[in-house]
Amino acid sequence: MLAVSIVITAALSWLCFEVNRNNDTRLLDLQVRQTGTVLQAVVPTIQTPLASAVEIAASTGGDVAQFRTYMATYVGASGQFVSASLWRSAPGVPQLIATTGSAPQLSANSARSAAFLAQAARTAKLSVTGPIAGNPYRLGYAYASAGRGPRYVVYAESALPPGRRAKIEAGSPFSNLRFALYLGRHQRDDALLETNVSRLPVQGDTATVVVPFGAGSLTLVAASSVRLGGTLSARLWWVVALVGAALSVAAAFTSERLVSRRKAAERLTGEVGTLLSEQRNLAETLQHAMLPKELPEIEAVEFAARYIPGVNGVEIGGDWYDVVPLDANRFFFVVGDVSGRGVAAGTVMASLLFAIRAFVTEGHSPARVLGALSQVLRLDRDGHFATVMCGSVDVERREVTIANAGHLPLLLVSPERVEFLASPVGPPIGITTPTVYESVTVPLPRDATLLAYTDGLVERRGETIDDGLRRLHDAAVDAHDSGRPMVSTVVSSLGAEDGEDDTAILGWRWLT
Amino acid sequence: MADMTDLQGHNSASTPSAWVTQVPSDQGVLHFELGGELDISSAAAIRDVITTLLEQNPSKVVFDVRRLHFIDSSGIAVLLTAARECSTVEIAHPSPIVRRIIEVSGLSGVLLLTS
Repeated sequence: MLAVSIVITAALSWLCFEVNRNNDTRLLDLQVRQTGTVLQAVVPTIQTPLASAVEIAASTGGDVAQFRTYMATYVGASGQFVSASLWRSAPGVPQLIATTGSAPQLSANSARSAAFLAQAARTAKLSVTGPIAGNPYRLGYAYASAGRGPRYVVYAESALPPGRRAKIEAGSPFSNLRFALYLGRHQRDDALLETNVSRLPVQGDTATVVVPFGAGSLTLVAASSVRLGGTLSARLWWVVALVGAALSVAAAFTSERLVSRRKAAERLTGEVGTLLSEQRNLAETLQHAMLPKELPEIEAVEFAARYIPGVNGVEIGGDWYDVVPLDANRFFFVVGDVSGRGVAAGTVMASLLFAIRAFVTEGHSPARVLGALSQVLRLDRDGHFATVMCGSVDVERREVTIANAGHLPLLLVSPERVEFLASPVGPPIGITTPTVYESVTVPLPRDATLLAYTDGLVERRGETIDDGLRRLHDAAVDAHDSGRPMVSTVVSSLGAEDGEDDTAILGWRWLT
Repeated sequence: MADMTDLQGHNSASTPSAWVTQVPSDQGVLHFELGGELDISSAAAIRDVITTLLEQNPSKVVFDVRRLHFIDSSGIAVLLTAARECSTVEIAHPSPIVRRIIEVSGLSGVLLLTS
């Protein structure tokens, strides 16, 4: 058998198409590590509502009604938490000020809750505790206010599955994967959050990953009794879905975020306010929960991003965006579009998102990232291809290096010019394996906004793509001239929320 | 001589949104007329038809798309299915809409656009 071995680094040696037992072990290892990456992405979906609630508390002096009103969207039948409470941290015992939803299960043990809340008050990260005994078991999260003045802590609990047993659908690809998820760094029964095996520890050839999760860690152990082979993507989807359900993040998360440095946020209060007020709780599928909800904090750059599901039908699309900081001055961005719809497209999207993050972390340039990606996806084997626009931005040098696999061009908006940036366009990922991509480096003006987007934004039946691009161009000019927020204005001018196809948009601009 | 096989892809409303017809052609060449709107709802049925015929191992596949009004990524995937099996795939008489989609997607090297 011909073995094609493409080794990029030891960590990425899974790009070997040789089918043998060693390969299965590497695939499983990668799968578990990729799942670990996804789990980290979950943190902001929990942290953000708690952080906002505690800000409100700190600025209103612990107003009960405002706390309850704000947390109402996140607590209850359709929310991710079953309980939320506001505490004032004081020397000695923390004081409970307000509760919404059911009573905190942690409070049943006052010493434990006091210790946890006191510890949470001392860290800027999300604190996690559990499993908390009860029916069902719960997981507890706490986030404390920062700065001077009385310290407040918002504490929320989400429900773990009954008996901490994962529900596996008959015939799901996941049914061959045996896993256990623990809070902390060790596989201890009293730290178990969820599992689908009846006897622990998980038997067989297992792969283990420990990932930071807020101020603590999560440990995921998994074993597969069958070859993983070409169904890597499908299995990853199910692992993520089940773990996400354990962490109760499948419900109630928003699809858009604006993150900027605090000072910039104060300067741009209008824009922040508009974008935050547009946040909605969407019943989206978990795959889009992987899209970064907190975009990097990079000096002098403001980001905005949105994912908008298409209105037609119930199947979700495969569009995504991602931003990966490279260092204090540089970041890597990507916007992509997997062909087709449904769980399969979403699965492929998730795999590409992780693969890109891995390649970027390894230090590959945008063109090399696409080249490496072109070896991961194959239309004939996986049933999908993907268009991808990616690049690296150097904030200090004010330049962007673009690589493009069959995707629509970046739009540059600045006072002197509004234009689509030309770049060499290679075929979409998955068409020819392997493919070599070229990049181009473009200097950018001082006052520049860039938009990366998918075709859902500009493609309409009955017209050529150029008509849609012209519409985008004009809407961007309009938004720039009127000073309105670029991403949200363009989205509404182009009617993206009513489109059939899903849309992802990522924008950034220099602040200085 | 050869049958004109009329094959349709139906969407859930049962109105055909795409159709494909095989047209008589030279030995070793598969020639199709493809029309309507080839999108996620119609693509699977059309693809099944084409893949069956691709088993004949043609040296060239031609898709006459003058009556194709729309194609999305699922439709492109169908055309690419032919490109995987056969090294020469022509997309003949594309409308401006279809032509631009193939060009913008960086596929004009894989799907040869001809008038």
